[in-house]
Amino acid sequence: MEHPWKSRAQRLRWGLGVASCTAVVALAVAWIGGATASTPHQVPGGEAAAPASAEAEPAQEPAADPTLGPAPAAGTGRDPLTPSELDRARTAALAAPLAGATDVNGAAGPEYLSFELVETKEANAPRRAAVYFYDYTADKLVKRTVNLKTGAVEGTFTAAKRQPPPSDREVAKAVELFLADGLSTDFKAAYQKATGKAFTSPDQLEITGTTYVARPADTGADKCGEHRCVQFITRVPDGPFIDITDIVVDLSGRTVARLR
Amino acid sequence: MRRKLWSAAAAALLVSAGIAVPGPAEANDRWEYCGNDALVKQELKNGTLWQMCWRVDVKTGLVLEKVAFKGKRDKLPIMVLDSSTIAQLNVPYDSGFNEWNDITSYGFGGDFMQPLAASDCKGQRRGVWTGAGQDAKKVLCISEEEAGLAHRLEGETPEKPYAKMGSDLVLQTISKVGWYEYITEYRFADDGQISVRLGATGDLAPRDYTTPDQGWPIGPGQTDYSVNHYHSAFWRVDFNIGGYGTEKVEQYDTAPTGERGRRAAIYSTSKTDVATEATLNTATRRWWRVVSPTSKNADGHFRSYELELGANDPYEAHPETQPDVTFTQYKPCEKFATFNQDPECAGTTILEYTNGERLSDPVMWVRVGFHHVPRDEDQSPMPVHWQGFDLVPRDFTAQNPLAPADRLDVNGDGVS
Ligand SMILES: [Cu+2]
Repeated sequence: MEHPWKSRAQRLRWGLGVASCTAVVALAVAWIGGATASTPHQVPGGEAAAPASAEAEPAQEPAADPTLGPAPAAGTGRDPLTPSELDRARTAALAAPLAGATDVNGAAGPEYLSFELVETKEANAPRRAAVYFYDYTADKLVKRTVNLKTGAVEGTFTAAKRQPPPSDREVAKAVELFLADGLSTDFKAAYQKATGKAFTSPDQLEITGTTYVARPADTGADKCGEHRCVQFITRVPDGPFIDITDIVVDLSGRTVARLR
Repeated sequence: MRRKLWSAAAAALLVSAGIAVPGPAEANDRWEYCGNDALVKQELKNGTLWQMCWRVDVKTGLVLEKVAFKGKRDKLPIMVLDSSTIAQLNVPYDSGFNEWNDITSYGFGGDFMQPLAASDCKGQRRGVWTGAGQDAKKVLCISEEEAGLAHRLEGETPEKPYAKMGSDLVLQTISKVGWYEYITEYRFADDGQISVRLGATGDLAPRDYTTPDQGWPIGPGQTDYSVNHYHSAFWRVDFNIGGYGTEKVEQYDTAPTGERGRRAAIYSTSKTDVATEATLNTATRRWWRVVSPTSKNADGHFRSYELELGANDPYEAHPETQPDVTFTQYKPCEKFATFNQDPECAGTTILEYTNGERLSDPVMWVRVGFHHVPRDEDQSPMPVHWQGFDLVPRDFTAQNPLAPADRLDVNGDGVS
């Protein structure tokens, strides 16, 4: 049961169509780089084309959007991580043991969250990926760095009270806990009233999850921050807004609370 | 007639000497910064070339790295920025009802980053791989936009002034978080200025209605008071001027001396070195610059970029959102201004990063807050509202990089 409700990606269908800003006249564009360039890799500081005369204005039409071809196995320099680099990094990071770690469902092994390209200023440094996990046993965020050249895990860093955005799996679990809890009664009644239908499945909702960290003065879920907690922004597809931003699901403590 | 102090031959010599002291990224460095899909390299109509690498981070959204500028008379691009990202976006409501951290609790990348339709983008759209790696979604818009009059000077006849229309290279992505759609924008001008902005559009949050002292009535009559709120944003900017890095930070203040000259009050400008990590605030006539101790322009002046802040509402309810600008020693794991999420670093906010280290490689954290009092016009869709700052070149080139050839002899007081 990976995605029992409409995924966040499906929110896109009603998130489009926004004109982008103070529309000024777009000019003809002379593309000399990017995917339309013929040389495989333009080198900054390298063979830059002779600058055009300041008086001459290029008359080309804007180039068509370049097509992103199949992802290469590995990137160059500051390229984004390719899907296969991510696969290798994630596999290597998970293969290294992390004693006692459990995921959001209580199963062995930490919960995978996200990845990033490791920042570096070293000109010829190998590309490295950082893979982030959450260990629900220790309530700690884990970062593992993987050298993409050697495949070796080079570093493991853990810290408490770090709460990155929830994964889809974590949001799914939080929804499940919420719907099984008495605090969802009001929501179900509001849904019935707004749509005339009974709420029987998370499929009836578009849900975005966000991590909740209690500020010192917050009340209702003050363990959150130390614990991993999720709040929801919900939308009934093509329907009304039912506000449940006061609900907090504590995934570490397996409890549901209402902020006061 | 203007004074002509240089012969045409001398002017040509000056042009060919235009690149002084090539830095590692100017001449020697053959490192391939990124492949073609990640490279933006564009010459603007006035001959200025900007190039950089872009990618999308799941939390910070659009990431720009290795940003370099080449004026029409420069032989090679000269590095300006090592990287720039948004580093937090707090959205607290005046009612105290909610506070969102849109970067560290949601993120601007991943599913939150919107695919761009042709109507979203007047230029070229670039894609990122999604899912298994063979599906792409177009998320980056790259366009060249008119910027109006870049400079104007009376010429020899009224019909022929020295006048130039400028243009900007504009990069944009759009991230939808909740009901808001945020535009991450970088505007690279042909004169070397970099404008960094966040635009907010989409829709106001539904149901977030409150009392008259915390909102504004946007429906019929005096009933629906849409809640006032902040968009308090941080950016993290790491310079790499001339490819050398290791910049110095200077604060400049100008104050009246209390004395008078022949016709007016005398003001004095003084420099304070920001040699150790510091959280700083604006004051009348105060400004900061990040200056290379190595890379010089053709006048022998050290290259720098100046921070220019405009409209800015500080959110004083948190100590960490109070400083207007913070300079910290570079650490790759200090990624977010607040709620840092890299376990490799002990500190989680700019206040903890600022712990007395000497600045030998400064990172600049810029906070720009926008207090949003909704108005009738915000429905619907909401017109874009903008917040951001400018990075202005100061002595990056010895003269106006767009100057016409016959003004190159004007450099200094005109007495040789
Ligand atoms: Cu707003």
